[in-house]
Amino acid sequence: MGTLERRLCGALVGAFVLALSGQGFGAARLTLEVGVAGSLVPNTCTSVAARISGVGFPFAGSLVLRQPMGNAWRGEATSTVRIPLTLLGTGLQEWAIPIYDATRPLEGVLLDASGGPLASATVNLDALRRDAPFPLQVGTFGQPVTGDPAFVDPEHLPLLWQSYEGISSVWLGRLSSGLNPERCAALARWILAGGTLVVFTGRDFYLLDSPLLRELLPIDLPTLTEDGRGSFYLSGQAKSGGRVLLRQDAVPLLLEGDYGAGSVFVVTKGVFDVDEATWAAISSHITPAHVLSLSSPTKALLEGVRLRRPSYLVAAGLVAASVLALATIVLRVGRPRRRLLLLAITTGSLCLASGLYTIWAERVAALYQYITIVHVQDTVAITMFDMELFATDDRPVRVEVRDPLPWLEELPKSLQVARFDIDLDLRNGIASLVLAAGETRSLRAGDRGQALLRVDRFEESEVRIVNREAALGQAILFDGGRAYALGSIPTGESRFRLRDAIPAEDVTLEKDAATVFATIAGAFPFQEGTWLVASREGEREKRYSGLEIEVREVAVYVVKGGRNG
Amino acid sequence: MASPDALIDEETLEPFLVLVLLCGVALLFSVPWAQRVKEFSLFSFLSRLPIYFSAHAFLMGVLGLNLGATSAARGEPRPAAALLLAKRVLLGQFLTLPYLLFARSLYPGKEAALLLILVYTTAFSLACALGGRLLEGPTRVSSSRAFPLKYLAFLFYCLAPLPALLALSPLGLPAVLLGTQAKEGVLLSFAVPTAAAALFFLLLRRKRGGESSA
Repeated sequence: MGTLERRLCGALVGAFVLALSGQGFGAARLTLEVGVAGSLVPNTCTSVAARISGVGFPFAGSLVLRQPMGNAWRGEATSTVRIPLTLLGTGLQEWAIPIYDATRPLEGVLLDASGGPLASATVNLDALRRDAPFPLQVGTFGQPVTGDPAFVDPEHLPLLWQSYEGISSVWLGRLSSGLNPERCAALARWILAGGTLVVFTGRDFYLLDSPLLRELLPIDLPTLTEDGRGSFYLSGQAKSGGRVLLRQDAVPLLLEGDYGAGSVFVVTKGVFDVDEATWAAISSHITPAHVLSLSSPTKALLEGVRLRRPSYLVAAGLVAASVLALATIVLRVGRPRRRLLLLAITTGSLCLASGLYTIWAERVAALYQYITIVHVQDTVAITMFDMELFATDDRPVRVEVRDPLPWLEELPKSLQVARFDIDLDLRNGIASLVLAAGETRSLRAGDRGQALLRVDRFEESEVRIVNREAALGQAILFDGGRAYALGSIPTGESRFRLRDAIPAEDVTLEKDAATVFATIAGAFPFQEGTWLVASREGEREKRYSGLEIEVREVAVYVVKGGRNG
Repeated sequence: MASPDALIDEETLEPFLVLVLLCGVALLFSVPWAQRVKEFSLFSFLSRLPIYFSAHAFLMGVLGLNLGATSAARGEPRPAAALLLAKRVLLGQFLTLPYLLFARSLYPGKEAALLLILVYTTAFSLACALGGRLLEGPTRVSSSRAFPLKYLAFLFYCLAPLPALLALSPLGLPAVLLGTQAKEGVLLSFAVPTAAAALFFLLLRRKRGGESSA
């Protein structure tokens, strides 16, 4: 073997060993990007993006995100999120994941289909940490807004509306390449949930113009008008509910409109056409986001749930009958055999009665689960969930959640008082928690909603409702500030004639839905346009991992209607 | 009039009545007091404990001790005493069976644990009965000493393991079997009363042999 051959052999063996060790060509690589514009607020959902390379495509496996929280003084817990992955090629995958503690790092591990680790990455969250929600400026601006804003390019806006949780307002400046429709939809969903958007328009309007953005703006048929000094402003017809907050030279400068539970502010001039004084005046009118929270009504509803348990009266009767039978038979019956026989008959009868009772009686449930769902639908739709859990048993709980969502657990200041570890399996939709008897847990999640209902208002006081969901128990229609009780809404298409409006004080839903409605009603502009509010309630018992679980659920649907004819 | 080989009569009624009455009270305490979830926390300290089963284990032990003492006082012949005591212990279990069935609705899905508790309390009560019979026998310890001695030993066995090995105590074993904690010492907890019952039974037979030869 010559020198060249020996070298070649050596190189081949070296490459083979390198490949086997996974260090050379083809080694899996995982990169994580956390937060929106490099910022995050602890105890909120935020954007987590992963770039995976060096694996064979198509790739099937999972990503496990593990985050320790707390410390020796506060107490410690761990959050684990298991995300299924199916990748066709290298690219950025994005999720909205709860982040609890920015003082501890987030560790991501890429696993293959058999659960073997392929690559890992760690992100130091402390550098990204913000203590309060912050304004987000998108695009190019002449100056920053007050409140320590973060800056981001439009192409780096989150793809999921839940990632906006730590943001107080989104400001759109000059966007040379406009807004990606998917990111624009995520932004619209966040506004629908209670977010705040500020849009600078003027000459820059056509750079970001899109059908969805036009739906958000409080102006109909927007056009550019010159103010006579070479500057352009956006003009048009104010939509119903649109309010002018500021004027400049008698021309509306700042308008506010509602979109779902959120607000959209439009500055009719471009971001570089506004002087410092006007900028300050605009800033003073902007209200921060106030995203709907279902935690408080869900807590109240769970607290009111009647505990399932066998009857005291039956237990007392059983004790009394046992004692009396024993004493009477032993004291009154002389013959030992007859005494034993009678004792056997009476105790046997009591056993039979007790056994039959426990078959029919309410058994003590180990876990009570109350879920409130609010579905909001306009041009886009969202679904918000809040889940409260209460345990009467010390066993660990594995809650099968209907939707595989990144549930965020509400944590107290001290983690010493209970075990707050949470493990979310997003493949199977299972949340694993540990609750001791008497403990409660509060979790929330959001999802992009589907267009479940369609509401069309016709002339002649008629409304058509197309319901793609299960039948809804009760419904109220708001039309031009007046409310009409519609009763139940069946699945499919149905038509209702609006006759007698109900007085404002009687506008409510029934039973548990009334508590949810009372919490969210103030957030929506029901006095403007046509809105359908409907509800559905249910309860069921299920057994999971040997635990008796009582599940109650109330869903409220808030749907913006359209006018036809 | 009391028959010497009767399982239950006026003389032995009291221990059975105490068992049935106090187990019944414990059963009432085991039913959660709270009507609604918000009221539960006030009583959660009670709901965390399997009160009925702990009380049942304790009272079955007391029943055993009382039956042993009564058997000795009645001078029941030793060959038959052990069998008679075993039958009386089983009668005690039978009389509380309606409660156990009722308690099933308090611990749904834990039938296996309930069965184990039933087996354990039978062995424990039998060990207490045979031990009590042995201790109260005329040739061993005087009755005035035997009473505090057996109850001190009984209380020590019930209470001493609680801080260290919960499962070894008749009060703690139901909590271990029905709860989520590690099942450490469960085998030992079953072995101790079973071994004690076997030992006391053998000692009773030996005493019988001794008395016969004397």
